[in-house]
Parts: sequence; C-alpha cells; structure tokens
Amino acid sequence: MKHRLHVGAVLAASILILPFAQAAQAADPVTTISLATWGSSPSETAALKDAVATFEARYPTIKVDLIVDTDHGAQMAAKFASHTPPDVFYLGADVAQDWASQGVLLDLMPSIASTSFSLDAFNKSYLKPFQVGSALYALPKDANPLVLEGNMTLMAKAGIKKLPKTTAEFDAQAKKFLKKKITPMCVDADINRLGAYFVAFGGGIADASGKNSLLKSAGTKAAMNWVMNNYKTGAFRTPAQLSAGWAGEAFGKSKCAYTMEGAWLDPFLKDSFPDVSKVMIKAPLPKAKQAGSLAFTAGYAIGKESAHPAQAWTFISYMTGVRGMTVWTSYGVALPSRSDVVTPLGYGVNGAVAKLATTVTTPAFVGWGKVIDAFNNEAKKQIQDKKFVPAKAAAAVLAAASAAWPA
Amino acid sequence: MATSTIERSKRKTKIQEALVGWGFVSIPMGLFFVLSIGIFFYAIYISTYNWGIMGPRGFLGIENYTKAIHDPIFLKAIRNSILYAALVVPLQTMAGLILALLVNSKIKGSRFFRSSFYFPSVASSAAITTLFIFLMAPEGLFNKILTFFGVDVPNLFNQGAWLSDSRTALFSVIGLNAWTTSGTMMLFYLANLQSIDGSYTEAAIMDGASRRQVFWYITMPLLKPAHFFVVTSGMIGALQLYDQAILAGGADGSPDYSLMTMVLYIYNACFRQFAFGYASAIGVILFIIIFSLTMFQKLIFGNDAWKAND
Repeated sequence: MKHRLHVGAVLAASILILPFAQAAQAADPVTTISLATWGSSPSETAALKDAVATFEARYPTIKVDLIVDTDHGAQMAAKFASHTPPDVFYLGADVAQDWASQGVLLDLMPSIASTSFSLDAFNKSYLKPFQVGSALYALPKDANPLVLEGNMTLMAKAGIKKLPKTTAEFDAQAKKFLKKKITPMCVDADINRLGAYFVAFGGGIADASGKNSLLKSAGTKAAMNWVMNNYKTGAFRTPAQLSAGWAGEAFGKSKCAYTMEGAWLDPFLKDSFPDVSKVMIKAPLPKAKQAGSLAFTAGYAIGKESAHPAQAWTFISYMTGVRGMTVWTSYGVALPSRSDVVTPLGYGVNGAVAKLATTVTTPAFVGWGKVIDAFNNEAKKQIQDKKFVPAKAAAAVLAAASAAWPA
Repeated sequence: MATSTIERSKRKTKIQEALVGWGFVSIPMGLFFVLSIGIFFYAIYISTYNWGIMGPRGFLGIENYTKAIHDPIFLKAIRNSILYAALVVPLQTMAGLILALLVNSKIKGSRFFRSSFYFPSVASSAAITTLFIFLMAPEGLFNKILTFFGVDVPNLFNQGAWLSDSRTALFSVIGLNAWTTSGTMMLFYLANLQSIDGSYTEAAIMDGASRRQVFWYITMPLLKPAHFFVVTSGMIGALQLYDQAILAGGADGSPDYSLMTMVLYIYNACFRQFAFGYASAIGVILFIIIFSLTMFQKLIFGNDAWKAND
C-alpha cells in the first residue's frame, strides 16, 4: 500500500512537472548554426575551435558546426548559388564589396540598432571595407598589420645586431648580407606586400575613401623604384626564386634574413619551424618618408538566406565583442580590431604597428581583385629577366595596375 | 490455334524485353539529356544575361560574347590553351606510341615497364603537379641535374625558375602533362596493337618487307582508330587544362598570365568575379573551339577511323 502511494506520488509529480519541462524545452531548443571559414594553419583552426567552445558554453542553446573550407571563395559562391549559404562565414575585406554587390549578405545594422551592441570601439578603417552606404555587411573579427621579422642567427652571421629602422639602414644591411651570400629579404612581388612601402614613401594604393587610386602619386612611384631596385640587386627575392611556396616558408627554412608578414607567421613557424621561431625578432617596417604599413582584416558575415539569422547574430556579436575577441586573439593568430581588447603577450610590435595612423587597410571596391592580378602578373614578369631596368619596370607595373583600376 | 498462342507469347516476351531494355536505358539517357544536353542549352541561355550569384540581373544579348573577344586576358588564355594543345598532343601521342611499341615487343621485363610507364597516369594530378613544382624549383632536382652536366643555372635566362618565368612556365607544364598522360595514350595504342591480326605482318615479311616498311605501311594504317581516339581525346583534355595551371601559376595564371587557360579563366569569371553569364559565354566559345577541332580531325582521319579493325 505504501509502495503504491509512492508510485502514485511520483506519477502525480511527473504529470505536474511534465508540462513545465516541455515548456522549458520548447522555449530553449538547441539550434545548430553553420560557420564556414578558411584555415591558414592548424594552430589557427585549433584557436577558433576553442573560441567557439567558449561561445557554446555561454550560449548552450546554440551549437556551431564549423566548416573549414579549402577554397573558401569558390565554395561560398557555390553555396550562395544553390541558396544554401552557411549561417555565418568569414568575409575577406578584399572581396567584401564584390560579395555585397551580389546581394548575398545580410545587413547587420538593423541587428546592431536593436541591441546594445556598439561599433565605437572598432577601428574605423577596419569597418570601412564592409560598409556600403549606410549598410554594414560584416564585423571585423581581427586585424593583422605587416611587420618586419628577422632571423637573429642569419643577422649575426652578417654582423648585424638590430633590425633596420629606415630604408637607408636596410640598404646598408642588404649589402652586408649579400657579401655573406645571405638573401636579405624574401617578399613576394605582390601589391598586398609591396603596398606597405608605398605608404612609407608617402604615397599609397588608394586614398582615404579606399576607392581612388594613388598609384600615380610621387610617393608610390618612389617606393616602386626602390622596391624594383632591391629585386635587381638581390636584396629582395620572391619565394619562388628561393624555391618556397610563400615568404613565411622561405623565412622558416632560413633562406632569407628578413621577411614582412603579419601575426599569422608566428603559429606557422611554431608548428613547422620551431628552431627559427625561437630566433625570430620583430620591428616595424623600415621608415622612408614615414613609418607605415598595410593591415588586413576579415569579418564575420551572415548570409541573406541564413536559416537562423538571430542565432547567427548572437554568435557574431559574441565573437566580435570584448569577451569573444579576447579569447580568439589570446591565441596570437591575429590582433584585436577593437581598441578595448588588449594586444596579446608577445605581439607588442604587431600591436604598435596596428595603432599607427599611417597603417592603412587594403583597399575595398568592386574589381579590386583585377587590380591585384594586373599588378602581380606584371611585377613578376618584369623581375624575371636579370637585365631589367628598375625604373622602367616600376613604371610598367604601376601602369598595368592603373589600367585595371575600375573607372 | 497453338501457333497463334506461341506467336502471341513471343510478341509479349519481345515487348517485355523491350520495356525492360528501355527502362534500363531511360535512366542514363534521361540523365544525359538533362545533365549534358540540357545544361549546354542552359549555359547558352545564361550567357545572354548579366547573371550573378543569385540569378539574372538583366538581359545582355550577345554582349558577353563581344566582351570576351575584346578581353586581352581571355585572348591570352585562348592563345595559351591552343599553344598548349598544339604541343602537348603530338608529344603525348608520340610518347604513347613509342612506349606501346616498346612494351608490345618481346623485351625482357615488358610487364614491369608497362606498369612503370602507366604509373604517372594513375597518380593524382594534384600530387604529381606538386611533386613537379618541387622538381622544377630553382633549387630542385632538375636544376641540380643541369648543374651536374655543367650548365650555369643561376646565369640562365630564367635563372632556373622554370615555373615562375613567363617564358618557360607553359612549356614546363607541357612537359609535365606529356609525361603524365603518355601512359594512358600507351594503353590505348597497346589495345589497338594487340587487336591487329598478325597474319598481315607475316604476309608482308614473307613478301620481303623490311621492319620499317611493316611499321609504316602495315602497323601505322591499322592503328588509325587509335590515332583518332588518342589525338581527339588528347586535344579535348588539353584544351580543358585547369588543375596543373592553377597549382603552378595560381588563380591569376601568373606570371604575365602565362598559365592562364580558358578553363582557369572560366573559374576566375565564376568564382572570383561572380560573372556567371560571362563565364558561360566563355564556356560556349570553348565548346565551339573543341567541337570545330574535333570535326576537323574527323575530316582528316576519315570516317573509317571510328571503326575497329575488322
């Protein structure tokens, strides 16, 4: 009898609790959102997984399905075309305007306006590539300026103790390296690297609007002449000339004393070339007329046809908020794009360069990719012949890039 | 009465067999019509529009075609593709024929050679191209061999940068593909060689023909179906060069667009510029080029090239 009473009480309690439990379940169903990214190194992917895990812990009703694309641009285009875009995805600043012009991105301004999320802490130049009129199509997840990295072992072999502060110092050091048959600098003939010198020489790639060309400015011409002269003397060599896939690999294999990359170089070296990683030092790029660099950013965007825009916004606002960005950048793969997030330990130089007023974000306009292709193809063509004339080569490269610049 | 029942039963069986046959055929034929023929006409339709990721954005008529024939990079891509096909097809055909003759002869270890020659064709194109990039790098094995034979590689016109010099990049890829595809061509020739009736050769030898005469007047004409197949399939494949070009030269086909091919240009138009209409127009132009060249080859080889040796 007592037993029956117990069973009855349990049943009654279950009947009473069940509707509430069901209601609680109905109010908090778990939603899975997809996140499509690219991955430059295993460390970067591992860091992202950890950062996403902190989001899932904070928002247990949202799960994130991480997709690391091998060819992000092509895979995203296919997903947009089939009307099945991921909910959230990386959006490179270089292609943001092209993607926005296709009408595939969700404007984030209504979500920002309806929540307490503020854009004030973001560096304005990192927001600009994602803005079209009053619309904002992505929030910058991080930033990465180019800095100078040096291999202390190779520097010591040439009797050099400090990284060059000016282009004149670089020229003097290059002669010492070349005497010891060490390649001074590995840098690709790419506007996304050489453009940093355009800024240092007082020119640039584009003006403050990010759309009008500065390729015909005196500063840019002077920088291009200096750059081409360095390729001529052997002070600069491309990764291909050093049998490497990219400059970071050439630097890791100790085929050059210096290179100029962003914070992504650090985890790559730690993963692949730990010995070189231990002897690497950093400084801002050499000054010419002024200190200057190029910075890169990428953002989190939501597809216009996302099935879960509200949850996607929750994810984006966390990852680009103070907490999420602190977690993500603490792994040292990139620097914060917000002024209220501290620069991670060991990235002081990168952080200082990011804060320079003369560190400019790469341009953003529809057709920027064609300018990159025109510049890079012509630059590689010009330097392939040992007998090239630097001034002529510089003029030909700038003319090719200017011709590709949209009217 | 019995005869008509048998007749009716036979007819019923015939109809049933026909239905089963059509049933089996209808699925692949349906897929063929939708995915090959249908897609082709859909591509023509798309090519007349400004077609973005999300669909049509305005009718253009033939504007995409006129834009293509005035686009200097596309014209360079056509030139590169045709030059590539013009060189790689004879090379792979000759190499395939020589290898087939070699492994078809009664030399020692012919089975080993057969497998060895075919191996590059089995390996993945991406893997073999990556290997090739290492071999042809300035500090790669190829330059080391040249140095061993006394060549001053650093003072060569391209400083030993075979794949990153616009004057040698395309020719390097031609060498790569002639090597990797020659194994497949060898197989086609080998199959044809082994189907040739030995009595022709025996009769010719008995009539006093030399080995050279047997090859030129007996073997070569009887290999006509293989010639046609190897040249046609080789040319179609060559004009569709993509993977080796993007791996060696990147999406922009650098340096100086020397590795920009028609299919790589279609990739660029689609996935980097989102100009699907323009990409379709280029695809249609590529089809016209391939179709015209195939018909031309058929004209040269004659109709009997389709037929097997009876």
